[in-house]
Amino acid sequence: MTDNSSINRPLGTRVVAWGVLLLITLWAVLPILWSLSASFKTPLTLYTGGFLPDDPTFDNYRRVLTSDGFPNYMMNSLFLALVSTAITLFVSVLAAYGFARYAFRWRHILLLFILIPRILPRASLIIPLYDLVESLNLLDTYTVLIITYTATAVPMATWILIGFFQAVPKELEEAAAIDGASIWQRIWKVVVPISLPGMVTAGILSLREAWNEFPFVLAFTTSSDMRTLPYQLFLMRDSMGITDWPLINAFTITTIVPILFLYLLFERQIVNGLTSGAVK
Amino acid sequence: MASVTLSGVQKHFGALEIIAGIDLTIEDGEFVVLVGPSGCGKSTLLRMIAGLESISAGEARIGGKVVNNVPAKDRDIAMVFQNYALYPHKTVRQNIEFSLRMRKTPKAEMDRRVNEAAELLALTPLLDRTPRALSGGQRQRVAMGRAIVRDPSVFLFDEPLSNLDAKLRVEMRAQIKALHRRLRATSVYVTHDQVEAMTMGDKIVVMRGGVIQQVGRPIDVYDAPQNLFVAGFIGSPSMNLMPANVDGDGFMISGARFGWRGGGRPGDLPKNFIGGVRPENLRLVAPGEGIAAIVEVVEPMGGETVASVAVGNTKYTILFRDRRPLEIGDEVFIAPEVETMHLFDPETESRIDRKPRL
Repeated sequence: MTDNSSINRPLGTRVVAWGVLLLITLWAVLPILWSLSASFKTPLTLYTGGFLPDDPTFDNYRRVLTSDGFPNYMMNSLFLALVSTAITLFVSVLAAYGFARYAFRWRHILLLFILIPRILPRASLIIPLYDLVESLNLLDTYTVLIITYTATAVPMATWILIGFFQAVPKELEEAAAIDGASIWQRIWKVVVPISLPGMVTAGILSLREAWNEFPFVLAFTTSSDMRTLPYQLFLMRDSMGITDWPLINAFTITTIVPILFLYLLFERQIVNGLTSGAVK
Repeated sequence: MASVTLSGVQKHFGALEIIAGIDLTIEDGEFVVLVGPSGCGKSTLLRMIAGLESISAGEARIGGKVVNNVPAKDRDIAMVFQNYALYPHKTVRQNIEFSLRMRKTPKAEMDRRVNEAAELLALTPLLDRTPRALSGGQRQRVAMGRAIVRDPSVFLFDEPLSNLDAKLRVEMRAQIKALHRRLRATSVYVTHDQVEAMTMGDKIVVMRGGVIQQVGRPIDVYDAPQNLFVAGFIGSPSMNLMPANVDGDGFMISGARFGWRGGGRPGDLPKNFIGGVRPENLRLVAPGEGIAAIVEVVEPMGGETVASVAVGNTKYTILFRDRRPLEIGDEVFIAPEVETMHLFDPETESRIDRKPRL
C-alpha cells in the first residue's frame, strides 16, 4: 500500500520531493565529481575552463601508480583493512550473539560501555595509547594497528549485529540444536548466514574505517614501509612545496576505487527479507 | 525406536509453576497426543522432552535412559515446529540433510536418505528451491522431511498444523497418520485442537494448568470423561453440562422432571449433580414434555444442523443428524437421553460412575 501511494500525490508535492532529493544527492556527489574531474587536469588548467577537463590527461594516474612505494602502501592498506575486518567480525559475532540471546545482569550497562571507545575522541586516546604501545614494544608494527582498528570497529559491528541476531527466530536455533548442531555450529551455520545483510554492513563499515584510518597510523608508525594510503596522501600535500592538486586528486580517486569496488560487489548481497519463509 | 517415560516431572519459572508433577509413559511406537487449552503446559512438556527446556524436578527417560542433563542434540529426537523453522538460506535438500551433515553421514548414504524422504513426501521436484518459494503446505512437508530423514527414536510435533488452512490441515492430518503407520515411530504430538487429538492419537493426554486431567484412548475419553473439564473440552460441539437435582425416583433439570431409565437411580449420587449430555444426545420432544427453550442460533451444515437454544440464561447445543427447519425465536422442548447422560459431582467436578446395569 505504501509502495504506490506516491502515485496519488499531487504533482507539486512530487516536484518538491524530487527537488530536495536532487539537492541532497548533489551535495554528496559533487565533491567526488569535482575531484574526479580535477584528476584529469593539469595544475595549469585546474582553475581555467569548465567543470569537465578540456584536454583530459591520464598523466596524474600514471605518476601515482608508478610513484615510489605506491604498491607497498596499497598492500599495507589492504592487508590492515582485511585482517582487522576479519578479526572484528569474528569477535563481534560472538559478542553480539551473547547480547542477543542471553539475559544477564548489567546487560544494558555493558552494552553502553562497549561504545566508549567510539565516544572518546580518537586524538585523546593517542597519547595514553602511545605510552602503552611503546611499553609493549609494538611501535611501528602491523600488530598495533590491527589491534587498534579492531578495538574501535568491534563496538559498532557488535551493535549492528545484535539487531540482526535478535531478528533470527529462536526456533531456527532450536531446530538446529535438535538436528544435532552444537552452539558453535548454530552460530556459524544458521545465525550468521541468515544475518548476511548485517554481516556485510558491519564488514564494509569496519573495512572502510580501517582503510581510511589516519591518526593511529601517523602516531604509531615511523618507517616508510608501514605507510598506508591515507598517510601517503597526507605526506604528498605536506612535502611538495607547491601543492599539485590534480596529482592529489588522482591519488584520492585511486584510493577510493578499491573500496568503491567492494561496496558495489557486496551491495547485491544485501538482499532484504532474507528471513522470509523461515517461519510461517 | 524408544519409549518415553516421565516420572514426577515438574517445571517452575521462579515461583511460577508451569508443570505440576507429571507421570506419563509413552510406549515404543505409540502416537500420543497432548491436548489442552493454551497455557496448559503441553508445549512446555514437549520442549522438556526435546531438551529445549530444563526439567526443574523429576525424571525424563527416553529408551530407558535418563535424559535430564542430555542436551537436545544428543537425545536422538526430531521435532516439527508450529512455524516449521526451516533454514531460510538453505534449499529444501540442504534443509532436509542438515541433521545428517551434522552427524557426518557419508555423502552417498545422505543422498539416498534425502531422496527417499523427498519421495515419501512428494518433495522431489522442490528439492532445489528455498523455503520462501514454497507454499505453507509444502513448507510443512519439508519440516516433516527434516524430521523423518534421520530415523530418530522419538518424533515430537508442536502444533504442526495450526498454520495451515482447514482443508490442508485435514489432508496433512491423514498424511501424518499414514506416515506414523508406516514408520511406527514413537510420536508425541501437541495440539489445542481436540479434533486432531481425537483423530490422530493412539492415546490422548488431556492437560489443564500443568496437570494431567485424563489419559486414555480417544474414544474412551470421549465416552467416559473423568471430570467436568475433560467433558467440556473433548467433543465438538462441546458437551452440555446441565445442573440437575435428584427428585424422588427421578431428577429435575430446569423445572422439567425425568425418570431414570434402565438401571434406575445410580448410587452415591449427591442431591445436586451435573448431567453431561452430548449435543447429539439432546432431543426435541413434544410440547410440555421436556425443558422449554428458545432457539437462538441455527447453523445448517447441509447434512447436519446445529442449534443453540436458551433456557433462561443458560445455552445448550443440539446436534441433529438431519436438516431441521428451525427458526430463531421458536419455542422448543428438549430432553436428554438419560441412558447416555454423564454424571458429575459439582463439588469435586469429578465423574460419578453409574452402577453397572443389571
